[in-house]
Amino acid sequence: MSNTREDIAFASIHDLAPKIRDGSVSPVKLTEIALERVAGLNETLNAFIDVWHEESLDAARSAEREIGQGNYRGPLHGVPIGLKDLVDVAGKVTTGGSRVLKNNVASSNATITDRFNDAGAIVIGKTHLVEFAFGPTGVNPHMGDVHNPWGLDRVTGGSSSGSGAAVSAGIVYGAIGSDTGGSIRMPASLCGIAGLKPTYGRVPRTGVLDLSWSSDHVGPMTRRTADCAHMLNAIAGHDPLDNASAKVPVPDFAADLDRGLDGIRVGVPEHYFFNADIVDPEVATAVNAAIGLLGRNGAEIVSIPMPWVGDGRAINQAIVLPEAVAVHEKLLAEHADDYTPAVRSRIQAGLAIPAIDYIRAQRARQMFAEKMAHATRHVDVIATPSVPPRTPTIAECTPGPGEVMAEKGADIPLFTSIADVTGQPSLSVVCGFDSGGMPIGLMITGDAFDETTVLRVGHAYEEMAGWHEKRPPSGCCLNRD
Amino acid sequence: MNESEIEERAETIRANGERVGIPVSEDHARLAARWGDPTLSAIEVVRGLDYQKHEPGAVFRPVVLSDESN
Repeated sequence: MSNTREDIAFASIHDLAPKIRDGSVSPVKLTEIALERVAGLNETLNAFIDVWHEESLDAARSAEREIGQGNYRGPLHGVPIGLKDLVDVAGKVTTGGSRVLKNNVASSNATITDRFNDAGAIVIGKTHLVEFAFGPTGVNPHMGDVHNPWGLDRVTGGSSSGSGAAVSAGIVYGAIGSDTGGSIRMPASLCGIAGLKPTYGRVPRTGVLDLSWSSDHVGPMTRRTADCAHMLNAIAGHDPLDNASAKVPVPDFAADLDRGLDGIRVGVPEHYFFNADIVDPEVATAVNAAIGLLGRNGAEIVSIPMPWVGDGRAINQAIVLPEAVAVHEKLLAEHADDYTPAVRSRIQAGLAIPAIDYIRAQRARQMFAEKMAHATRHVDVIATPSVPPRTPTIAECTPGPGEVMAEKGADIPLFTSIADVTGQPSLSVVCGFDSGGMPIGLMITGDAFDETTVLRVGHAYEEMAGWHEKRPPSGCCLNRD
Repeated sequence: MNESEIEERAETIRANGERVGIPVSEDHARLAARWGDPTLSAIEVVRGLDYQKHEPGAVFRPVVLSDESN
């Protein structure tokens, strides 16, 4: 690895960890570089809502001392990361990207905050998001839009917009996102990074703001898949304080990363995901090329009929909207005028859904998940595009007066929301760039609680294709080397 | 949706909000109603699915206290 500060900023956790362990890379230096980059880039990107300079440096010095004394905790020890600002950190404000919660100081840590602290990670601050994580584009009229490092006039995707931009721009090595309709994988796809939505119940939501109890997932966003595995290792596992938390064995998610593709069967849906009416041709071309590469390198490609799969988006909406208005009942009653008009109206739309339709949707979800399990029983993963359109501009995605959502952003969650219905683990990795230079995402979705295979396929793909090594244009990099 | 459907839906949103203690102004009700097209079509899609043999995806879990949760 070269020693320029930018090279260090864009290194991976996977490559840095052994160097941190043997003392050849300093956590203090990594943290200084992260803070330097956030200071230089945040005005342009708006990726962070809050940054903790002194506390981060104190934590880094402590990590460096501990490691020097032979008490190395694992691959996240001494590594700067960010938390989406819906994750509680005791004594800090959790805004949820909204003015409504501008004074909402957390009294305790989220479970994942504690787990990151236990792993020795350096949490440098909170990343930006769409208000209350309810939107697919990254547009936030009250708190400011987040800009895509690959094209500053472009959206990052949402709702984990700041996490996507911060990781993509080499500010932090990883960040946390949440995913209810695709909010980890959409920004991962549009920002050209890796983002894993783990299986529902795999990562505790305790201390993380809710949007939809039965659809909310928390997971890692990093520049390469191997780093998602390391972050997942730190935060996965049962939490008795989370009703949805699964009591299942937790494997070493990094153990199979280097097993390659031999014996892997990759399913490619015959329906919906490659429909020319939905997916942009440049996106389809890049994803088909990625699937071809998997096939030429040991994976067996299997075509799978799924004529019903497009119903998943409707089920997702019919569940999330009533749950969202229930989650926001008290805040809407007391602070309705502090919401952005678009998000307020979007949430309030859930008031029009009768209870029986919500229950129908939950029954349909069970049916849908069983259909998916049966359809994919002979394959290890399915491969699809992550996001159907090419990356729209911020202007195109900003709702005008009298609009709740601009037409342009509405199709971004069509594919990602399906795994929020089934609860399957689903990963987006960069698989190329469109003619405008914006990233395109390949989505790899596996069996429930088999993140290991999903990560294995994603890692194998990245190693063959190498797209993840490309950095955003120079406008987003500091010239300090 | 035509204007009268939007008005009707806005009134439903406003009345349901009032019933559960969520104030919804006429303007916001109308905004929410205008966004109702995808919501309505989602509900229609779900109503047409063959879910009758399935229990809801989110079911109640009885509480068992353990040392872990105390």
